[in-house]
Amino acid sequence: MKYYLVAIYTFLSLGILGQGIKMTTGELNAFKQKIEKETQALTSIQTDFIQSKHLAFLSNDIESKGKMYLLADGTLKWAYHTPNQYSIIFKNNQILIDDNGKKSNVSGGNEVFNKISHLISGSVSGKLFNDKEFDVVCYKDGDEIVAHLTPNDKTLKKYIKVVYLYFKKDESTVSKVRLVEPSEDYTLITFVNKQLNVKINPSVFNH
Amino acid sequence: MLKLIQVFSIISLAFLLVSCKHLKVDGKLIKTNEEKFIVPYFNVENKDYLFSTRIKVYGNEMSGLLAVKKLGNQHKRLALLTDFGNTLIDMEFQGEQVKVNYVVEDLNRKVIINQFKRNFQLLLQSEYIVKDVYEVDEGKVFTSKFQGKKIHLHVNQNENLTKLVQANVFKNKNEINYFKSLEGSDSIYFTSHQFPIEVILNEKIK
Repeated sequence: MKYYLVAIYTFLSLGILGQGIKMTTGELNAFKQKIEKETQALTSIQTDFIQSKHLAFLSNDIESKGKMYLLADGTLKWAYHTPNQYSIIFKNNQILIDDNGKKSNVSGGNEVFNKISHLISGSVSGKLFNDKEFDVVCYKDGDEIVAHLTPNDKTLKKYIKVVYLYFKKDESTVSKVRLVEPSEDYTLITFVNKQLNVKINPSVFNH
Repeated sequence: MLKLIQVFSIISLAFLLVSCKHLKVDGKLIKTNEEKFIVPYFNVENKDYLFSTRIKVYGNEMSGLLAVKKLGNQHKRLALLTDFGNTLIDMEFQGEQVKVNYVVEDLNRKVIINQFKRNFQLLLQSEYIVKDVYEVDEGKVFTSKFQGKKIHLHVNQNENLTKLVQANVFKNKNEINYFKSLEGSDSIYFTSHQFPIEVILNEKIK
């Protein structure tokens, strides 16, 4: 019986159930410092993304595609081109929406939108990983490090149960983000063709 | 006093007759053996239905996605999502029962939820007991009842459903118009005549 318990404990602590091996406090701090140092040098990120929305009752995930631009000052454009033309720009405390040609502005004082902007830009750059608004636990899983971020903020908690940030080994920006909702449905965003520190034409952020 | 009551009764009756006029089908009543009318939308079991969605409510507009699946006989599930992918509302319809699995806190108000329940139940309803059938210029009109209100189902000469009207004694409550594009995708326009609510659905085909 004792051997079974030891075997089960070993099985769980090695993370064979799928989430990898939990990082020690020392490893976590070293990883956080590395991310912080490398993201401080970032001037821009330009990337394509594929978004898969998983709803438990559907047979297939719902896929959307688009492009994301992020500047070091937090200016962000998140633009879908498939299936809908929809973009949202966070710039100078302004939120600019282009819904298939129909343009609108939202006050920058909108708490939910500010949280969303912070969540998106922080996820992509990896800065979220060092955010005090989240409890962070990290796991090593093969060539990946997966950060599990549980929000402390009550506004975010209404929308997000946990955020998983996936880092490829030797990369300081995330390759995938999985946002799990309180209902357990989730959105997986995979970044492809990612380019760091490229010059982004300012007209990209025009409304 | 008696005269006053008589005048009031005549005015009320006249008002009721004028009010009821909208319910009258302008066509010829025909005999039919059809007991049920089947709405062909959201009615294939285990198929994922996905529609780009635009909702106009009290002057506000939002776009997103509507996902629907028929899980079994008279059992359907629906989720309304933002373009970002967040679930706003997740509901299940089984017979006359409506279960709310999830609703985002901002929409979690009894009045809003009840409105969503009634409107989405009408949108997803696929089976109507036929009361009468009328022949009209455009095709036929089948009459039925749902949610305690009259239903008129308009079909064209090709037997395709083009419009559903839900009405009570006094006025039209809701209207759903159905369109098919040249590519074969479906579009559905839901209009409430009680509240400033409009829902435009365009089928997403892979």
